[in-house]
Amino acid sequence: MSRLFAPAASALRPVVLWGLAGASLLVLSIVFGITVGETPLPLSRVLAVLANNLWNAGHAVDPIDAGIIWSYRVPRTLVAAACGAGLALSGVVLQAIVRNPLADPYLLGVSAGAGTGAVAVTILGLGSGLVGMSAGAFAGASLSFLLVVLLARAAGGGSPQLVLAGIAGSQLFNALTSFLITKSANAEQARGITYWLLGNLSGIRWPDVSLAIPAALAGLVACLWFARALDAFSFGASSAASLGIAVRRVQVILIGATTLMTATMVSLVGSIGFVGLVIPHAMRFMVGPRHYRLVPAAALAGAVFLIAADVTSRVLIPSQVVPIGVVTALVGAPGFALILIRNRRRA
Amino acid sequence: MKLSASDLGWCAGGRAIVDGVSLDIVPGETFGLVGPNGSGKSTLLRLLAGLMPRARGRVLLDDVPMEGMSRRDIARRVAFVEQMADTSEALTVRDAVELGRTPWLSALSPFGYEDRRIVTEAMDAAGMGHMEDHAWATLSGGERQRVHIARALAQRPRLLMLDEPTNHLDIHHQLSLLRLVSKLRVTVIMALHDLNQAMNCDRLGVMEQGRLVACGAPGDVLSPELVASIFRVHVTALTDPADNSTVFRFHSLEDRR
Repeated sequence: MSRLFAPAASALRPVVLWGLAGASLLVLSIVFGITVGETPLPLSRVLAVLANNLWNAGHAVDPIDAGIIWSYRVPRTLVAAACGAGLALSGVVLQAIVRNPLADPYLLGVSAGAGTGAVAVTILGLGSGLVGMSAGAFAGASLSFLLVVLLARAAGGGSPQLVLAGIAGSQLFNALTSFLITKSANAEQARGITYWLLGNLSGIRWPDVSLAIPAALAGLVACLWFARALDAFSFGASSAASLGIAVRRVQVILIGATTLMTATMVSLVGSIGFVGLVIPHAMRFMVGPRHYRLVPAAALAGAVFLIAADVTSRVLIPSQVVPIGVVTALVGAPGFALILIRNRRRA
Repeated sequence: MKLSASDLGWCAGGRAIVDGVSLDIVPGETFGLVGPNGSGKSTLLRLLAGLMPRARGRVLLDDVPMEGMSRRDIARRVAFVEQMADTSEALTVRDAVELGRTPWLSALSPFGYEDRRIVTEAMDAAGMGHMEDHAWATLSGGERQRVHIARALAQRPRLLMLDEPTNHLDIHHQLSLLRLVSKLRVTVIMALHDLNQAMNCDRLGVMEQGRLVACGAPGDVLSPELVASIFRVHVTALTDPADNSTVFRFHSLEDRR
């Protein structure tokens, strides 16, 4: 038994150090995300409100400021962090499992399917409320991913086929969404849904947090638990099987976790592209391809990136909120271009 | 490790790729599989390693049925080196070899000193110890194949299967790789293309159209008649004056007419 525990103790030190550094970075980003916004609020007031709510510190704060901070900005920033982490993790998992550097929930049609599902629930009034919308998004996401995988397999099952099938799936489900909106929504609903689909965090309140954070944490735990299995896919599924991985089971669990995360995030904030694609590649570049490092790094970077993108979307144009999907695409598209060029060099 | 397979079969698109193969592997031997392209060597190897879905027949590892074992249990006993498996991940040699420890680790028993030592040992055994920091993309075909073998050794298998390990390698790397495999103290089953290289195995199995048509000592199995009928070449056995071993020279059957 000493063989098991002695190395674990010494291996724990870097884990604790990096964990602390990562947690500090995350907390700083969250405080930053809460502080910056249309209504300028000094950091001291933000900290006072946080202290009041977290441990009843009893600082005297203007109730309007307290309301803005605690009811709007805190949940919004927390959901941004959870969404960023969830989308980045989804990208990590999909890229490892389908062995395609271009895989992410957005390109493979998972986001589009989730959007269709959520819109269907909203407009047709199937089920209701937050959970109903998330369930609809999950059903849509699963359906579209299944269709994309089946189409890719029918087309020969290669990596390029998967990307092409993903494009077809995205187009199909985006068209279905538009169809649903045109057919059934009134003008006001249509405007709201279109705006939400581009990615929008302005409607986020505390109940959303209780959906986003558990989803992101569940995804993170699943990815960390299977970090070694994800590594084993480096040389393909059959090589993973010969290394003792129960390939089918791992694929089902991890793709399920990915779909769950993507569906939850899309039902809360709409479809946000490029986070799942660019963040995992940037992190591979920084911490290497091994998943026990890549998974936590991508989750952290995704969270920080989406907080920053949300802040940018709020302050970019004074008194106007730019959809966050627009901000991530403005940063992500050049990042995507870099990935394409880097891949060409390697081939 | 002892392996016995009975009545193995596998079909694709209504065609039998492997058909009714039974085979017993003796502990410690090096068993070679030869046969023309498409004769089912690779599929048979994968069946023996339990890697094919919807397979017919059964495989016993040390008298234990493989179908009742988990993938992890199998991977602790059997390592498999595929033909030229590649990756686009920026892995180093050490990263790739560490993958071999996968069946011995879990989220609760992480990679430790002992695993590190086994990985170093495996890299040294495969002659890749001096290149542990090199990136996968920079390695030559021969080096990649050695990394795969080191990865398989890090699995600490009792049975090692290799699918045409000398494919795409230059003659120097072919010979050094076969020498490396022959020095290993594990049971080996490998598919080979080169009949002269196959002569160094303890026993040979000859595949034709999914069936195992001959099995035994290389000198007995590779008779001129069998080589002519299965590989469609005429063979002359020569004696190498350097060590009195038998070498084959091949002639096209058409030339003889």
